Amino acid sequence: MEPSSQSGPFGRRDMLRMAALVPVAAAFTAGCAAGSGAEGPDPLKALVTRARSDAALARAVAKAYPGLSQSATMIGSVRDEHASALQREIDRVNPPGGEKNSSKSPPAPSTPASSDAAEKALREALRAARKQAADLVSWAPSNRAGLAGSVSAGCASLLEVLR
Amino acid sequence: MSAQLSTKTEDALRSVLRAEQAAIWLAGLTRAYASEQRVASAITEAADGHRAHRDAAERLLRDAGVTPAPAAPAYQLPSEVEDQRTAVQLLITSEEDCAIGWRSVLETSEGAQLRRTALDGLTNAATRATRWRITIDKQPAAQAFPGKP
Repeated sequence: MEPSSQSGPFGRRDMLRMAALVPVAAAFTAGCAAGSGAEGPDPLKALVTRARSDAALARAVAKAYPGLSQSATMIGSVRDEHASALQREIDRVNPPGGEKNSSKSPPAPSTPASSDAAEKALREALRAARKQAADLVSWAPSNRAGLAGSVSAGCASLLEVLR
Repeated sequence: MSAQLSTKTEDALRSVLRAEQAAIWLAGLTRAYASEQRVASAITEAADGHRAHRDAAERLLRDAGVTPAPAAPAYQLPSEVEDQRTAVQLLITSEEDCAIGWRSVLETSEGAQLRRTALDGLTNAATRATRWRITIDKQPAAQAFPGKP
């Protein structure tokens, strides 16, 4: 939305352009700051694991409960996208070596016993995922703060879909 | 005067302030097109949320010794408003603008407190956008990465 007349020096376009430029600059600093390298697992790994297991749960629920199928399918696809984007960021900082990457799929989730239980399980999973990503936002390097913030806000949005 | 802001953070805060000011203005305009009471109430609630985030952006700028720009008297609409549906479509666009603005603050700032404020702004804009999409049955109702330009 641009201010009408010439009253403001900036418009929406400026903002979009600036926002688009930021991640590139941020990526430089992140390469150093996030290079956890030998000092232990990348903190994003825990987010990938949770995103994959949420996606598996959502797919199982979508299959078992037609009433939840639409929202659970959406949850599954969004959490899959989260897992992929987070994994890409992990691989960018620490390119995977020759050995097989730790992309082991999570254990198959047990399908909740009723539609109510399934909805509750999805809601709890999204709440936990929202918090997990939000916790990272406060201390992560800036490009990761943006990614984790979007993942957290994405999970919060999915909770609206379940309402 | 507390923390100094980097130029990038200051620019991001100025941008998101413009988006929040526009959202408040848009709420006033679209309320007249709400044909359902639940939509009218949701617009009022959204306006309150945007005022809180506008105030937060202004405060952060002032605390760093920067004078926040005032809101424009009116804004050019990217599409026409004819009824509740087209009004809600504009509300979605405006929430997406706010989400982009707050994510940009996240990506340019360092302090935990500032990032907390930005995450709140991003999350609220994203959830409101999702509720508006559900209101007019727009799919997909949720974006995977709200605020990603």
